[in-house]
Amino acid sequence: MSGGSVTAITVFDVGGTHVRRATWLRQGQLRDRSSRPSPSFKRFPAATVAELQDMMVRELCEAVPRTPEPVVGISFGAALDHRTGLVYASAPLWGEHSEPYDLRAALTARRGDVRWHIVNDVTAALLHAAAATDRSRHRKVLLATISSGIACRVIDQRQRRIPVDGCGLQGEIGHLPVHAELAGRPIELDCDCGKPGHLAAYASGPGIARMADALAGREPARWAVSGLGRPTADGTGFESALRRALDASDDLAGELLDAVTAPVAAVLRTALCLDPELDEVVLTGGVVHGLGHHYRRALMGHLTRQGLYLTSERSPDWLEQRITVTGPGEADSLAGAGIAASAGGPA
Amino acid sequence: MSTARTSTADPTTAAGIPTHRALVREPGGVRLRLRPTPQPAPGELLVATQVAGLCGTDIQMLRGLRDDPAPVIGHEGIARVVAAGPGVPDALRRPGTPVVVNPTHASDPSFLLGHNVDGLLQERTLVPATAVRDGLVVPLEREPDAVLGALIEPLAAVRYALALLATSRPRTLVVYGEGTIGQLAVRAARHRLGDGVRVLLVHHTPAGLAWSARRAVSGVESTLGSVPPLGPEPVAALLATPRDGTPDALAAALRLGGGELTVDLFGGLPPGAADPLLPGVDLSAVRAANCAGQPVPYAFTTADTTDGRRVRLTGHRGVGNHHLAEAAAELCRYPDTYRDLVTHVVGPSEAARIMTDLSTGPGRTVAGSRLVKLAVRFAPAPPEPLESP
Repeated sequence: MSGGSVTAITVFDVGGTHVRRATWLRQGQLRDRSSRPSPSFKRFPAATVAELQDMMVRELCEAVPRTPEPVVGISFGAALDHRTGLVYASAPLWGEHSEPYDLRAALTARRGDVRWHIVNDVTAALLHAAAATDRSRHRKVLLATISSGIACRVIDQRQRRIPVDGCGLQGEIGHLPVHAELAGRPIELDCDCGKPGHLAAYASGPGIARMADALAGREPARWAVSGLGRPTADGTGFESALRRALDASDDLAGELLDAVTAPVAAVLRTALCLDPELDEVVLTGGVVHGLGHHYRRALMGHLTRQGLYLTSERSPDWLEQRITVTGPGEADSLAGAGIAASAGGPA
Repeated sequence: MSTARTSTADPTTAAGIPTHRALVREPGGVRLRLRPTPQPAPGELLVATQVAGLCGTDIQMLRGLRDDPAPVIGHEGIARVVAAGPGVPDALRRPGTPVVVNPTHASDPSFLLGHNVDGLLQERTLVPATAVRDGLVVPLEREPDAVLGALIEPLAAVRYALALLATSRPRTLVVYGEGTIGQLAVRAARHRLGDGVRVLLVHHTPAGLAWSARRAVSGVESTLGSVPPLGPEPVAALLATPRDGTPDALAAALRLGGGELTVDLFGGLPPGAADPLLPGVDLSAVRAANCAGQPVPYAFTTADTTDGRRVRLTGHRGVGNHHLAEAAAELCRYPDTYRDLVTHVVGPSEAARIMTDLSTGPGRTVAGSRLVKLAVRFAPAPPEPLESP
């Protein structure tokens, strides 16, 4: 169903820490942004999962104005089927609980007057990025988010379609098995999901911190005198220490970034190899925004040293032209929720 | 990582989830509601409001004149630390520490306390990591008398304005506006500008003038609308007006006599505001040039009016942390100078009724008397540390 006559849409971005809310205007603007703490198991340890889910539904419903025929777009940070509104699991919100939850049905039961459109947060970010004018003639766009978790989505711009599998899912690359090396030797770390060797175990925000710990263990003397070791020993947070060390061209920080971007490059290289219609790969997320041009430089280093067979030799700029690192706000899940709601959601 | 929590008898739902009372904006008015109390995530701070004030901007929000979306408003007051998430600096971790939260972040628009983030008019307020990380939670070494806490943030803003105006060494200060800011400004003027400065308070209603007459401040001349002739020394004008009243106050200030003129556009401006005497001057940009205590030295715009007078224009958004600390110290040192401005002190239930009444009518009369500053007191709940597993 389309929200064709609607001019303002209430949008939410539900994350593990905050629920962001705004009003999305058809011209593409976000207004009246606000933020509230998420009803998560960490914030409300005494609450059951059912109570947390009820709190979420109550908060979302109460934040929608009582106007005629309200339309709402929700970007939800969890594995879900946007066709049905079924949320499979959300570890940040509900811990290890993995019973599917029919979010759309719960919202509709409380506010039957509202048209609810629910999409995954990566899908929402992709919808916003893909709406940029300079991407209108692309065949396909892949968006990968590198933050506390890792995931990607591909949209076919010609049909405005995000294909999904039988479960309504696509692009859960964070839990693909990958090969990683550190200080010249292979390394295997556990992912937050408990399994070893996943991409997120090395390349997500927490994964990079674990790789840094492993590097300190493997290279203690170099670590102690590096631009990472000295500040973190003095109490500086790891994320800001890494950025400053990279800004100062610290060798060990550069090696760490090379190590954690190598498996990301491998997955993207494979995607580009298997789907020649991918005209752009867009990178977003807290890790990418925090490290900025350093992240792209490290990633492109891998892809330059080992690109696509024959293509990279015959067209050296082919990969260079296809990898974009966004800044904050360029792939905004809140705006994507508005796009999804105004168009009736991705096909 | 230990997390400090209250172990006092917080109200809880039947299921055992801690809850707190909050003054929530809803269609038709303000209601006192029970809300679940979150534990702070990494970098966040949970605080218990002791006293919170209601300001003119808050009343505009209650009346639907602004789009700020936070259901719980309030950005003035004193709170105490209840619980700190991992990574919060030690100076803020001790339960019971009295704090003031600077409502304005200089560079992160996602944090504007009581505007787009739930504010202090509730028993528990979660301060986001961006505000904690960037030093917007200011611990107080000394607390002013109970209800004077509601005046810390507005007095800090007044001190900011007076610091800007002091750069021109004025011998006359003309304050336009009979509300809290105007009244604070004339009381604080001599502390900041020196005993020799002449201070005038320009009212725009007879009721405001009558209120001031009953609470005369030594050395302050009160007028209704007009200003008597001024001497040749430098003059400063502080426009402590509601947003819609600022253009008229600016027009009056530009026609003041006296010597060199410096004007602080304290009260904000309606969109697109301009003055015919100052063609081409972007007044909103003038006001936005100073924010939260930055830059130092302060920003001024010098312009020539169409009738040939050179004026220095300035303004500011928010306050710096040091302004808050200095305002708290001033209220400790001179409590009696400011006490009469807190005209109404109520608990949360009565506050809900008053805020609902204010949301539906244009007046400022509450319980039969003129409202200057409403202070809402929340029952103190002394927290005790509790080690979390």
